[in-house]
Amino acid sequence: MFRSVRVFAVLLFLAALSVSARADGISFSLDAASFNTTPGNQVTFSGTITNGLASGETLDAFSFFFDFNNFDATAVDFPFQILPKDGTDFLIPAGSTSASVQLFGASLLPTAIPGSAYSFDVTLQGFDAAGDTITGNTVTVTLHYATSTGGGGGGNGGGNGGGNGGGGTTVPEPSVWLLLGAGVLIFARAIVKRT
Amino acid sequence: MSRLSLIFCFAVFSALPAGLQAQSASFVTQTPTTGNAGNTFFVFLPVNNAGAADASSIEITKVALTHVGTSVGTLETPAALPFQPGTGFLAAGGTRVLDLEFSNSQLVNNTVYLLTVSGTIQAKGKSVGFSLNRPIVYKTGNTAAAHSDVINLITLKANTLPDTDKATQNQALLNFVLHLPLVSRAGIAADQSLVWLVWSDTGRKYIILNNDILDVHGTPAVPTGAAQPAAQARTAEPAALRVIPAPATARSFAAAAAATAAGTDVPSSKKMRLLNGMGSGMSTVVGDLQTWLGKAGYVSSGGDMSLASLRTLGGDGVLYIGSHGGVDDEDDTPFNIWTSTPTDACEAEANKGQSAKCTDAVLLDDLINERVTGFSAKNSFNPATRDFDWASHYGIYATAFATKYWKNFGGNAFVYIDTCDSDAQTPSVQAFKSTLTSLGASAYAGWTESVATGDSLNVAHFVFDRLLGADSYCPENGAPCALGSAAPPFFAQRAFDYSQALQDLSLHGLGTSKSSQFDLEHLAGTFGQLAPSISKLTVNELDGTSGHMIIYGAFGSDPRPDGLVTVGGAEAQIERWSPDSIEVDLTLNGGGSSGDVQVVSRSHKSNAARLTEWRGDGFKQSIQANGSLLIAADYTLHFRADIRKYRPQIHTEPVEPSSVGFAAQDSTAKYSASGSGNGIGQVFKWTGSGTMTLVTLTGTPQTGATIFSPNLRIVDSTHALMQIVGESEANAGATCTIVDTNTGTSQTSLLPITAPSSFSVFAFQSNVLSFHVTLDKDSGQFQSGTDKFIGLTNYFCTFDQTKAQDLFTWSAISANGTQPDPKSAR
Repeated sequence: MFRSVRVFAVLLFLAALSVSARADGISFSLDAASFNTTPGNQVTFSGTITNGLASGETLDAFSFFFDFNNFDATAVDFPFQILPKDGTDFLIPAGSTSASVQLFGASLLPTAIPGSAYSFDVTLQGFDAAGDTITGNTVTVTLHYATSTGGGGGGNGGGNGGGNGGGGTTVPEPSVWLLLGAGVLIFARAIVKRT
Repeated sequence: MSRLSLIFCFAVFSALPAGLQAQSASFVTQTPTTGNAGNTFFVFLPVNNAGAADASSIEITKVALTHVGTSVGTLETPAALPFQPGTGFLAAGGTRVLDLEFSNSQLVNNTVYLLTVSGTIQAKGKSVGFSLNRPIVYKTGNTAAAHSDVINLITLKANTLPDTDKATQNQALLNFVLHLPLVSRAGIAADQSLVWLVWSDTGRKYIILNNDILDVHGTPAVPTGAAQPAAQARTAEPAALRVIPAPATARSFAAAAAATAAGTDVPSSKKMRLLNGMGSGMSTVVGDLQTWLGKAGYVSSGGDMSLASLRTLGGDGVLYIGSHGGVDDEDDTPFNIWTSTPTDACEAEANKGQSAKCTDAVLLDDLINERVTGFSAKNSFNPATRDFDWASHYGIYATAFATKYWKNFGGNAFVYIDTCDSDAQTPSVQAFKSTLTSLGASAYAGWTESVATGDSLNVAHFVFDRLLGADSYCPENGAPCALGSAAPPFFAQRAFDYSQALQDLSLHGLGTSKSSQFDLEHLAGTFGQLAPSISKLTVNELDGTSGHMIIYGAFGSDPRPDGLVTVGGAEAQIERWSPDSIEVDLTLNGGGSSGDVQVVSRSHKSNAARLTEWRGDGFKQSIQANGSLLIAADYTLHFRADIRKYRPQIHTEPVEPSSVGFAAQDSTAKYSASGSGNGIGQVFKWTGSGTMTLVTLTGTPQTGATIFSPNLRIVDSTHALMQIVGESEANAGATCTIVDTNTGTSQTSLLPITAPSSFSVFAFQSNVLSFHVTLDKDSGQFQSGTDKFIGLTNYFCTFDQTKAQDLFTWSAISANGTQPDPKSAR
């Protein structure tokens, strides 16, 4: 039985990896998905974009756009897209991943509650040369309303991003599937050892 | 489950992100449709709810078109923010299109702009934000190159019109279409019912019908008439539109009813064609009408609202079309009706005798000859947005199409065109009605102006219910109109003619929709109603060999051989058929004797009216004189009567029955005389027995018989008065022997027999005696009773100082299942 658990866990882990790779599609990965901040300070999220289109089509930076959902509208100002920063275009050939660039920004409203964490979902979309929409992955990001004054330095947490993130530290957030797979592996291993 | 499994499950769920654990809405955009209309750059942006939860109270708070962070292009539509698109609802998986329009004066050809749409939804009492981005490549001009492209833009524009008044919506549509390619000119109907455009290449019109006021399927249809609560705010016109005065041609219902005296006939054909032109999710009465008419004997002709099917129309007794309709004769747009056939490539080929793009030669000919036109209208209910979706279908120009294709109706056909403007006082609608008249239609129903769907559904349900006596809508129980049947103590209502139905309509607060008015008018012929209708029954037992029954009501002209009457399940011999009464033979036993009476005319069935019957031998009379002198008479009586309450007029409380009838011809009686009684020097002896002869119109002897004649007067549904008159004629009766006790001689004479009611002569009553009978209100049972009279004079052949006593008793008699059915229509 425990052997079965191990096999299942491995398969799950591999499945998670395959989703992340997105063999045919687009995806993005953040340098940091969680920031400490305070109202009025803009947090910039940076990361990479992967062009996994099987068609081999090269995409430019203008081809990508973000949708932001499920944020507390009373505490989080409307997130906004930065990509391509200052209108500077760049190309992402098929099968490649961009360098880390500024993707989008967000900030807390004065009505946010100190000590609270505010999450929202970010979905990447794009369109190809034919104008067809390509839907990428969704990542949940979090803004922590930092209550201590000593938590600065978060601005560098996102690679090129986070320049304005004055209040916190970068908290890396592994992908959900990786967490899940790893957890199951560890758990299964513990069970096997115990027996 | 093992602990391992439990822990594993916990591990899986704990690893899921918060956003997935709590199901939520999540928006993404889809490929937009863009273009220019004059100085306006429009973006029809589809927004898809890719989340797991429905989104409600969507509110757009910010719309921006930017280039490298700089806002360009002044927002023109929505005109104001925040803005709720449509119902503000978007189900999980659903897509809603936003109409976002900007001034294009600052936009540069082939430049990518970032469109941002931000707003909120309400979820679990919280305001949840969203912000969507979409790069847009601006191009001058339009990519629309064909009719279908332009029609697609019109559909997108129409689907995203704000929920304002029709005039504002129509102006927005007009401004939009005037700047589209292939449109040479466009305009708005004076009554705001539609926007029309003329194609620059074909010269033909295209109609954008915006006169509907729709309700969602399943939504209770609430009349907009003054007598009922106002319609739902979502679908109601703003108050400003309500001040539009009624046209001078609109008539009051009283006037309408007076002007349209109904005939008495039912349609000659049993075929019905019930057509619904609306798409999925739209309310329709067709299913209900099919059921109701089917119960009354109608048979469906099938068919649908496709062009192909509509070309085959003919031969029907009932035609109902529920669809969109519109007219703008001032702009040469004759009365037109929406079909279920979507427009196709042929729509753009109307100026060509032949076309490789259109393989339907018949359709092409229809388009060229203006029997058919392209048509945009709301066609279906979208559950994902809870809004109505527009579509482009073909519409028929009613007069031209009917003239070309429709065959004659069955005689006295009823045509109900349940669309907006179907009875507008405009030339083309009148021409359509003339065409229908020439095809044999007898009566026509329609609306003078735009009608709210709820109102039209209510009226259609009502009119067919009343003309059929279907007892399926708005029973006369004082409650607001709704689908349903009457339940005791309220009686179902039988069929009435359309003059009465129109009166009833207004009494229920129906028949108007804003300034639009429903009318049902006579065209030709003698149509009155959709089913025969029985009001009451009377029985004349003396007619024929076993009695006749007269059925009163509305039956139309004599349809025989396509007409029959059944009594107790057996077909009765019809002696006479007139529009308001039918006389049939009754039998004395079995089927044809009593029970449900039903008239079938041209396959259309009437309500069932039950003839109640009592048959019993418990009627006993005894006349006692002095001593043991006794005349005993036993009567076996057979009575039949209609003791149902009935409605002489529509919308009235059923009245009590009132009738009088003799006993059936199989009633019998017998008597016997016996005993003796002393007088002064005399002894009276009664002897003899015999039968009594029922009085009939023929065959009653003038002498030598003891005759009797019972009758029953129905006072009301639970009370009756019974009489049994009779006496011995000359040379008839029992025997009386008077013995002289002094001489021993005797003298014999006839002893007359006197029936119970005739005993009045000994009681000095001025009238024959009547006996009060109670009829059980539920079972109809003839309740038992007794009555006794003491004569004021002596009886025949008795001691003259002794008064005779007449005792009449009767035992209870069951109606034996023929008591009135409380659920039957009256």
